[in-house]
Amino acid sequence: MNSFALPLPDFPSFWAAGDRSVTRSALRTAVPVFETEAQSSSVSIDDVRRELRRALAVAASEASTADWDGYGAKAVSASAISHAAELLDSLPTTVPPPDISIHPDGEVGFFWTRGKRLSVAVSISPTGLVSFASLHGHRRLHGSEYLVNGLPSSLALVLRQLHSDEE
Amino acid sequence: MAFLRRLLSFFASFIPTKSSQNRPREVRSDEPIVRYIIDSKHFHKPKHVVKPDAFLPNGDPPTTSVFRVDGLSSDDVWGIGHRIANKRSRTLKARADFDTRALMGTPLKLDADDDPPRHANIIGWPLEKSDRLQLALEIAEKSSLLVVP
Repeated sequence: MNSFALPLPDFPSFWAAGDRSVTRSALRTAVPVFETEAQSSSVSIDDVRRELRRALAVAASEASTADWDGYGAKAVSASAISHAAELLDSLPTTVPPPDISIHPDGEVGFFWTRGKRLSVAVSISPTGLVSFASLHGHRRLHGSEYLVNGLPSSLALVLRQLHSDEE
Repeated sequence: MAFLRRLLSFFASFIPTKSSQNRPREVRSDEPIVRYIIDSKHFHKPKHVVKPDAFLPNGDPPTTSVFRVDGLSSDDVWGIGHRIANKRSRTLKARADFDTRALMGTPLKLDADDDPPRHANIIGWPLEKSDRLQLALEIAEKSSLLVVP
């Protein structure tokens, strides 16, 4: 990983102290959007993926210190961002891009909606635990699975359900 | 004259205001409640929906801060939100209106602490994140989004 050249937001110099502390270089490692195609021609990242990683980086920068929401939220950790980036990469191209946010507990959130009672919310923890909840009409499904080899199968199922009649 | 104004203000402070008058601690089962939104990521403007993020709890024990708005005019309801946002040096973006029926059949309850007046907390959040997400998703679905005019 080298230095980045993309027009990215100005990050706070250092994140919270202790084992949550994250430097700019650590963030570059966690969110490889910081590596441009010119710097790594072997990695092809399409525009959507690059835009998603940029959105992840922006969300992370806004939640890099404790109490970023004015309600006492925890700062996001580099490992949560790293796992979130991994999950983004594992999403099938048939799934539309999620809205990305940081939750008050410092986990990274993804959200898809197609309107009333057609939504999927996901939370990615610093340990790589992917928790999700979905509403599909009157059907509800929620659970959690570790991010081990790509997209967790249970999450893949609810995302397929959400977007099935769109295809 | 200034002295008289101060004296009047002193005595006025003992008169119950509309915001605190006769409000029982017990919350009715169909009482209107508002969650003020100061983060634009907590709602989806094009689809006009509140996101579950708006209801996810903070702290330990986990709570979600809301306000009881029964009997208030629309201006008064917005006024509380603007004051809450100002206190945090933020700008009010929107509000999610729902009523206490949204919590029925869930482990969640409203604890009306009235501090500040009309304030309450949604309490009883489960430990598992996926359970919290499901509950937050359900309340968000039962809420109406009102973006700051």
